[in-house]
Amino acid sequence: MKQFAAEVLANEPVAEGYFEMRFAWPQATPPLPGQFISVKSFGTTDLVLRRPFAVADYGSEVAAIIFQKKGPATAMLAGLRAGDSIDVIGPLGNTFPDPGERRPVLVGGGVGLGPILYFGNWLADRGKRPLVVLGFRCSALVPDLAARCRFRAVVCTDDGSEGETGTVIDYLRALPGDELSGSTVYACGPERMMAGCHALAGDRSIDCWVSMEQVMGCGVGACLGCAIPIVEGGGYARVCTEGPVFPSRTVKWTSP
Amino acid sequence: MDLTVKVGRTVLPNPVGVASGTFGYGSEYERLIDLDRVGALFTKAVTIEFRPGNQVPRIVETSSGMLNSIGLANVGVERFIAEKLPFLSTLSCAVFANVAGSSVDEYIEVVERLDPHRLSGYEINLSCPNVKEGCIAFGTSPAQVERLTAAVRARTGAPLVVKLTPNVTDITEIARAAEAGGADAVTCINTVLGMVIDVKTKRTILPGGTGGLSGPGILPIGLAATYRVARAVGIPVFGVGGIMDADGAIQYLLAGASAVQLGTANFADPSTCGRVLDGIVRYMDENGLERVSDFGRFID
Ligand SMILES: Cc1cc2nc3c(=O)[nH]c(=O)nc-3n(C[C@H](O)[C@H](O)[C@H](O)COP(=O)(O)OP(=O)(O)OC[C@H]3O[C@@H](n4cnc5c(N)ncnc54)[C@H](O)[C@@H]3O)c2cc1C
Ligand SMILES: Cc1cc2nc3c(=O)[nH]c(=O)nc-3n(C[C@H](O)[C@H](O)[C@H](O)COP(=O)(O)O)c2cc1C
Ligand code: FES
Repeated sequence: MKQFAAEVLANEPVAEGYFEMRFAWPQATPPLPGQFISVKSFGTTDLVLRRPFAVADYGSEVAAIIFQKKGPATAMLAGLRAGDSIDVIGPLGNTFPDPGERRPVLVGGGVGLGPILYFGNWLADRGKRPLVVLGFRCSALVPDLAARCRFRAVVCTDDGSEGETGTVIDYLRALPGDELSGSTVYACGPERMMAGCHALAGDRSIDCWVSMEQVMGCGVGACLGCAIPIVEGGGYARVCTEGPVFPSRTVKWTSP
Repeated sequence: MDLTVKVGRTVLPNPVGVASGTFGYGSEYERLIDLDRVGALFTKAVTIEFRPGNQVPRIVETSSGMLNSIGLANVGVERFIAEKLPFLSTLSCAVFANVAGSSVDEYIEVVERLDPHRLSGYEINLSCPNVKEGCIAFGTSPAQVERLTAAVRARTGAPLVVKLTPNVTDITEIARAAEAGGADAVTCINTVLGMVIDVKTKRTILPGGTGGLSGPGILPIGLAATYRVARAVGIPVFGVGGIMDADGAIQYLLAGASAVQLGTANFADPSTCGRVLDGIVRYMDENGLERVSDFGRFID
């Protein structure tokens, strides 16, 4: 983990409201799939908190994030151009654990797309053939996957405007009974989607890992601000330090 | 140029400290900044027992600041000694344990357990409800503050800093009570009571309703409190609240603070404390100041 100024190499819209930023990673420790960075809300004292973003790609000292323009910080990020500089702390947090001999099933949606793409490519580069299922509301939100994926991905849209119709959970539930046996599920996206993966994994008696979100203060384990309720130990865990990746059975789910 | 600041028997190498709850137990920032350049480290609150902390979410950003409701989450004094002290004792800066409790006895017990470990001192966090006496925060009653300070004073010879809450009618009364109870210094200020409501859900964002406001938006509040307290007591004052750069820290020193602490700034940019120290040194150089106490000469 280091703090460094990173040169923005490219910053382009990739789908409606989503951007991909590529930036230089001038430090020895590469970010691994599941890890995130925090970016300073530069240029104003009106925003005091850094913003966390999962790493969406890394190679040859260039890293990427895929982010959704939501509020003031991401609007500012969206306005940056090649040649600008961002203040980064990273890599932060833990990683998606290696699936070993099990078949990796990767499930992504919304702002969870980036880390799932990175993990999918990382696995593909190591000779694995993950089943990757990506969920979107409609086709306008689907980025150019062929340009980004060294694996085949199943696209699901809620309105059926591209790929399979329905949610990623609908798709996974409809797979033949033994299709998921011997798999490990990795999910990142809206809480409802991850809770759905957790429930499915429970039904099929397979492991499931989820990458959680919480508003962060420090991003490095010092403030205890990013706590989420868990079922073991002290009742809470820090997303920035014990996470962001947790075994889904340790998370206290609020969605059904 | 002499950058040291004396608090009781403890000498801080420089006047730039990091505030309780924003710097963990130091090790979290080890790989990010040069901890040798920190003047004093104030730990996260330490209580007798482990405390899981408040419901989530615990943080919400506000304009020019943030609201938090962490709830004194900490590992408890025994694990603090076993797991956190070994690292803290390797640091060259002064280390103060921020002590909290829900009764006078709990504060005393934490201090008694810590005392053999010879920390630089204690910072008594008054922003805790006194469960035995109607759950009113210790820091809001001068009589309680004097009693609590005197009770802890009687148990330790280590420097005692009392941390004041701004959520009172007259903070100078509380500061005087701390001095009367035997405090070696006061810290001014803890967070300001605040609230944020999500108009879409029609609920407060923090589950407990209110939280503590910190960050650049509270600088004028902390500064005025420091200015008034520094004139009400004869002991050193740590100025805290909203410092994001050297200018903010210098304002506190000019207002009468003997040293400063940075809180929220550590979140925005962990390198801030180093830059603040550089800025203070440059300012002293440019203005011909020999020692930190010289800042106090300018404003009546
Ligand atoms: C571990 C982690 C990884 C993330 N990865 C991505 C990613 O790859 N792509 C992406 O688009 N988004 C990601 N996010 C979410 C992203 O951090 C928020 O969308 C961003 O902070 C919004 O900032 P804003 O100022 O634009 O919007 P705001 O209007 O300030 O906030 C919009 C929402 O973002 C969340 N948020 C605000 N401040 C913070 C903060 N300091 N820390 C965490 N969340 C906050 C809150 O839920 C808030 O309601 C991640 C969050 C976490 C915790
Ligand atoms: C997340 C967070 C946790 C805090 N925890 C404590 C604490 O445990 N004890 C304490 O005395 N003050 C605590 N504080 C208050 C700070 O030490 C400081 O007084 C306050 O934040 C004002 O300074 P700032 O504006 O520079 O942040 C906390 C503040 C924040 C933001
Ligand atoms: S954000 Fe501070 S502990 Fe996680």
